[in-house]
Parts: sequence; C-alpha cells; structure tokens
Amino acid sequence: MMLQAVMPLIKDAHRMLRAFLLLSAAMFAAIPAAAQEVAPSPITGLLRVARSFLADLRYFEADSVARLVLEQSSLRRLQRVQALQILASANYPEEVGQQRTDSAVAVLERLTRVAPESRLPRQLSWPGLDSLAREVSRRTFGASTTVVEQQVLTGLNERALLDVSSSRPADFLLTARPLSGGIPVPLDSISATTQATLRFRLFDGDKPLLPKGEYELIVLARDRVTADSIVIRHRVVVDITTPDLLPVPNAIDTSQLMPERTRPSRTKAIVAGALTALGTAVFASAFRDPDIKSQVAADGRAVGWGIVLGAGVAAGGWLLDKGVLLPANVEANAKAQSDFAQQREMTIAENERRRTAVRSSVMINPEPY
Amino acid sequence: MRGLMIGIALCAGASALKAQSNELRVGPYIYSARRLVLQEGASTVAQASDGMFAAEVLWRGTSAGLFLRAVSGSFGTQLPDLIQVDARVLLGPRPFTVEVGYGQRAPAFSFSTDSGAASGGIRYGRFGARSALVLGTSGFQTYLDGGMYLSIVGNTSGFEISGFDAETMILYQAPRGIPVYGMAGFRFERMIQMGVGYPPAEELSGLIIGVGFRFASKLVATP
Repeated sequence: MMLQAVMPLIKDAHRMLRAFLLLSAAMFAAIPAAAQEVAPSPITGLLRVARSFLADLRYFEADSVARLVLEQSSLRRLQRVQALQILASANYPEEVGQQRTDSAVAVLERLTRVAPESRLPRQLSWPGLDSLAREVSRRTFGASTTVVEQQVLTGLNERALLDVSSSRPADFLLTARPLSGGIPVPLDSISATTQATLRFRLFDGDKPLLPKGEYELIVLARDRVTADSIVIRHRVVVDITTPDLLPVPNAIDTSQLMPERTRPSRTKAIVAGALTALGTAVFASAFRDPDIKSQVAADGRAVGWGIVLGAGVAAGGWLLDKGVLLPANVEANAKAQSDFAQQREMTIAENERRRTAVRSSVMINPEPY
Repeated sequence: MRGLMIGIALCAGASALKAQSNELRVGPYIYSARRLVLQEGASTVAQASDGMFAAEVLWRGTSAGLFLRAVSGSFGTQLPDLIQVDARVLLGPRPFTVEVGYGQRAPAFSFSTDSGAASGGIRYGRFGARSALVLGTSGFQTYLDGGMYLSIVGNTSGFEISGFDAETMILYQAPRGIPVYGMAGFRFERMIQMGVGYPPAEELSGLIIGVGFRFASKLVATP
C-alpha cells in the first residue's frame, strides 16, 4: 500500500529528472562548437551522471539515465555499450531486493548482441553479475566489427582490413553496396569462426572492383547453430586512381616479318614434268633412222615411261618443295622477334611499376548502423 | 686434238674446284635396252632386247664439270655384245651446259687403236648439251641431254657424223639424310656410218633405272 502510494511520486520524480537531464543536455548542445572540443559531450555527461547514481546505489535513477542515453539517435557504439553496461549493473545489483533479473538478462542480451567481446568493468560489476553475463553470452548470438578508420593501400593487390568477432562460431560475409545504387559486390567471406579479419581489394586485376565513391560495407554474421543472423553496416568512402597501363601486345605483327623461304617452285615442277614426258616421247621417235623406222616401230615404252617420269617429277616437285630457306630473312625475323619480346618485357615491367605506384584510400566510418 | 681435249678437261676441273656448289655423283644403273641393227643392204633389221649394265661418275661445279660413263651389255647370239665408254667436259651453268666429249664404242672388250676397224671399234668425239633443273627443296632434279657423235676416221683427217643420242632422266635425293640417290630415265641412241665392217645403222633405246651416291655442297637449288 505504502509503495502504491509512493509510486506516483517516484514517477513524477523520474519525469522531472528526465526533463532536467534533457534540459542540461540541450544547454550543453547550445555551447559553441569550439568549446565542445574541450568539453565532454552531453551523452558523456549523462553517462557520468548514470555512473554517479550507480555509485550512490541509486539504481532507479541510474537505470533512467542509461535508458535516456540509449534513446539518443546520435549515440556512438562505445557510448551504447557503456550505457548498456550501466543499465545491466543497475538492474542486477548486489542487493537482492533491487535485482530485476529479467530486465538485466534482456539488457545483457542486447549488450552481447552488439558487443560480444565486451566485459563488464569492475566498477560496475560483481561476481553475480559477471556470472549472469557469462551465462547470457553463452546462449546469445552477437557479432561486432572493428575497423581502422583510414587505410591507405599501395598497388592493386593490397587489401583493406576489417576485424569481426562473434560470441559463437559464425559464418561471415562481407559485401559492398554503392550508395548511389547498384548490385552489392561480394568481397570476402569466412566460415566457422568467432574472430577473424575480413579483407577486400579495390581492384579486380587491373579494373576497379570498387570504383571511386561511397559505399555501404555490409557484414552478415550467421550463427552456424541457430542460423540467427546479424547485419552490421559501415559507410565507407573509396578513393582510387586507376593506373594508366600501356597496351601489351601478345604477338608480333606478322606483317613485319619477312618470308623465311622462297615460294615453292611449283610451276617449275610442272614445266619440268612436261618437258620430261615430251622429251622422252620425242627422243624415241624424232631421231630415228629412216630405214629402221620403215621396218620397226619406235620403242613403245617411251610414251608410257615418259608420262610416268613426267608425272612423277611434277607431283614430287609440287608436293615436296617447301621453298628454299633464306638465312638472312630468318636472322632478321629472329631479331625482330627478339626485339618484340624485349619491348614486351619492358612494357610489362613499366605497367607493373605503374600498378605498384597506385595509391588508394579507404575511409571506413567506425560507427556501425 | 687430244691435247686440246686434255686442256679443256684441266680447265674444267680447275673451274669446278673454284665453284661454290660442287657435286659428286657415282652410281650404277640398269639399261633395259632394245637394240635394232640394220643389216647390209637395208633389207632386214635385226632386233634384240636385253639388260645392259652401266656406271657413271659426275663431278661438277657451278659452271663446269666432268662426266664419265661406261655401258656394256650382251644381246644373245643374234647381235654382238656392246661396250661403250665416254668422257665429257661440261661447260656452263646447270640449266644449260655444253658437253664436249670423247668415247669409244666397240664389241665387248675388243678396243683397239685401229679406229674404224671391225675388229676394234669406233672412236668418236661427242658434242652435246644438257639441261638440269633442280626443283626447289623437293629433292628432285630433271635432266635433258642430247648429243652428236663425230667419228674420227682413222685414215683421214676429217670427221663424219656417226650418231646421235638423247636422254631424259629424273633424279631424287632426299634433302636430308644419307647421300643416296635414285634415278630413272629413257635413253635413245642412233649410230650411222660407223665405218667399214659395221652395219649401216643401229638404234639403241631403253629405260634407265639406277641408284648411287651423291655428295653435294648444296643439295637444293639456290634462290
């Protein structure tokens, strides 16, 4: 009864506290930017207030302030983690009467989900809470990324890095989607691990894989047991310079080469064959003695044999003649081939130098969303 | 005359030695011959066919060379055996070569210095031409050869045309490999006015097939 009577007052006090805190934050936000550079941010101030409440064992107020922090849209990852840690501690203090286990478990699940690698600070925790956090972490799937904000890559093959971790063995897939629209480009993947480094190149061979522009890096973490998945996104700005490569000829221009053999003397073979056949037939009859000729016919084998000889030599000359080797041309062609190969090697070396000289940068926003 | 021929031969040999493309060919061949002999009075023609054996040696350079040839054969009982040897000097490039030669033709192994005698044989000078075509790198060559015999009449100082010959031949030698060649051809000879005791006319024709060794500094034609 007593509690019921007091509750409206507590709620009023809670509302007043929220109003006060928001007002304080708003006033802080009104401070000029130059001053903010040296002064803590409003959220940092709220977190400090929450820790202070916790130190004073004012769990309810600490809870309220931590939840207020979590409602902020401009919350950074670290601030979110700190707020959740305070909230977990506020909901599961050593005083048994103050413990709200369900709320604490829910908060620890949220914490594990976004920061599986985080441990509760000693100032906020106690063995019972640590034990509860371990238990929750074991059965909750969480994944997170750690990035180096600015990475300068040399050459076309150096890769940018992005560390991932999870509370349980998971498969990770890294893709990049152009913010201007387009199909996501798969970059890297790794399986069955709780901690790994995903790597990605900006070039596919000599062509840009991720042309200059803004992208959304998407890490998909998938629990291998439950198939539960978490998607973590980072904005990234890619600045690359495509190397100006020289064309590398694959083969020498054959029009520059000289014939290494003379043309086969096929006409000569035909003429020689015809002369042989004709000569054989003519010789057997044209020079004959008139008296013998009148009594005995010419040697009948001459015509047939002449045709055989003529056809044989014509066919042989036609088929077997490959042309005469021209050593001077062979030497000139060898030199041309050698010069071409040397020029090609030089072009390849120059292109390699240009590839190596390429500098690219990747700026990854460390705040996931 | 003999001195002149020896001089020509020496000049040709020297030229061949200087030549850039030398060739030495040695080989036997078979001469499947048909022999027709006109009998005295031109009334009948005696005919016989048989195989003759021959051998030839050719040595030539770019513009000159030497050629030796010996043929012998028997024609049964109807016609006497035949043996013929001649030597030629070749002058000029292969496509057109002039031949100047000297030879003897007689019944087998019965040469004598008594030219024109029936028991010995006839001696003759030969003037001819030959053309050799090398068919690129095919390994084939063709020859066309023809000549005229001028017999030396023993008791006179003059010459008489005593015959003709003509020959076609193809030769093959693999462009690479052992220096062996094969050849085939056709040969025709006609003899006339061979002298006292010889028939007034005679024809010899036949197919030639042979093999041998051939060494050449350039086995193929130059471009």
